[in-house]
Amino acid sequence: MTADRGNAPTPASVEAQVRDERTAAWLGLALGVTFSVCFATGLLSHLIQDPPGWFTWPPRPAGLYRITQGTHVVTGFASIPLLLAKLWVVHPKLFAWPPVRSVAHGLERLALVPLVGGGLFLLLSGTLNVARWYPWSFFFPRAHYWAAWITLGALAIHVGAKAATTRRALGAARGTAPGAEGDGRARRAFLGAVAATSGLLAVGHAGGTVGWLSPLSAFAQRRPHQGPQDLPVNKTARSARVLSSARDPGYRLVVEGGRRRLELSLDDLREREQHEAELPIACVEGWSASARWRGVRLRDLLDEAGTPAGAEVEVQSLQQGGLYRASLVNHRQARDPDTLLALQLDGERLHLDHGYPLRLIGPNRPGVQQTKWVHRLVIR
Amino acid sequence: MNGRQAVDAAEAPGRSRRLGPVVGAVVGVPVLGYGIWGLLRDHALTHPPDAVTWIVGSAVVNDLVLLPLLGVVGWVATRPLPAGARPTVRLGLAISAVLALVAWPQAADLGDSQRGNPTVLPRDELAGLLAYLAVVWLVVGLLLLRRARRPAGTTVSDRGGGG
Repeated sequence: MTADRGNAPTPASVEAQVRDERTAAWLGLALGVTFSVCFATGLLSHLIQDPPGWFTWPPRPAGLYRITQGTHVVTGFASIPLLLAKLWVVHPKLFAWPPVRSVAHGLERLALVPLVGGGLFLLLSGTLNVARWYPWSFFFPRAHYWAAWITLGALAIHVGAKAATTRRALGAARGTAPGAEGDGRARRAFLGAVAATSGLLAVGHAGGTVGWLSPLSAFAQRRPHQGPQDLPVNKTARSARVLSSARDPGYRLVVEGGRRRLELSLDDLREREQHEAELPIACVEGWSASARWRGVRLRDLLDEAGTPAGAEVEVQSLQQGGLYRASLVNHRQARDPDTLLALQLDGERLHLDHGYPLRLIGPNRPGVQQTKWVHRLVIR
Repeated sequence: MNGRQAVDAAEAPGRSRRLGPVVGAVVGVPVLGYGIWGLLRDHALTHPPDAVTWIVGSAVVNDLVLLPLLGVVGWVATRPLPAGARPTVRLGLAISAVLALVAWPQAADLGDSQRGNPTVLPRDELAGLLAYLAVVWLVVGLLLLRRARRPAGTTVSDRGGGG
């Protein structure tokens, strides 16, 4: 162990250097960036899954969603050390006396409750979602979504209240801000350690979607090519309770809502023109993996059924319950040449857990919308 | 904000000091209100009492339990060390605590990860956590070693490391 040195910085003086406005300002700035990225990508994911009338998510670029959602999850994890460090730096202020100096100051402090609580909640609930642990009664995506708005509002209030202080702290002479002690090296070392921890957590999860990082990603929810037919599974046939219905020899795909109603057996589908596409499964939980799919183009079936231009399609699963038993394919996605009703994966018959006998696979769609065990298309 | 910072704030340019909070409130309050409205509107899914308990509880647990605990553990654990080594070791402890906290639900297998779907969380996360911690403490050890070998009269922070 090291010998003590006469002029070494004492922990107390190091702490005073680190716990100053400039450190808080840098961490605040970093959090502003990471939370904005998370909010934008999260809002996008929400719009894609629950699209209002004015929003049409395009099918191209095919891999855009895997990038935005991978970024959402990795940035969220990278935010954890930033937020905890920021809260540690400003922690003594929590106990400042008097607690409230004016009405404005009181409101500013009140806004810290949704800011701190909301920020921590977003990161905590996101982390537990990736760990698949739900020790609460609410539906994670919806509570996470509304908490994001609450946090964003509180963040705007906070940024406004602290704008002048932050500008001054960051604009101060390099290394020394007003109120800071020492020459700022301890602060830089502290911020470096925070950044390194963020980097570790980012690498720890990024391998779920960035294949070459997978061996280093200790905490990624998936290995991109581990699973039946070298592809991870989100919901198994057993948990969807389709084990017998999916293997029913009397299986038929029904296409209705067009000028003609179609009822097609698996042989009927195999006899139609087949098309191949390399497309990713991109999960909202941040992992993604590409595979080669082969099947019938959705637009060919829609044409055969006499579908009017601009129609949407609801794709229904054999799955009887659950929020994701059906998905909507908008008119642009429906006309994309790579939107398939797949019969094969990487040259083999679809595995039951990947949606045998028939699954939807389309470019630039969240995994939960790549409906498996498809048995009905409703044109509307 | 403490007294000294209050004085500093008073010295900030007057206009922006007044404008910032107003702009922040004008933008932030409606957005915050929209979030609360949405949380209440979707009550069947969001279960507001539970969600609010988790939101407020996160702040309370962090501020009144986690951070004080981290401070006490860091102080106690580094007491026997030379004063100059303490900041580096405390940072190592803090980083370890954050990594352990984030990895804990996976490492302790608290989720429904493996139940019927071996493709979910297929790794040994506890081994992964230990490997990450080993890297952290290797770096901490190297920084302490570098500091110990340095001629008397210089500090870790003189070379921008440790801290």
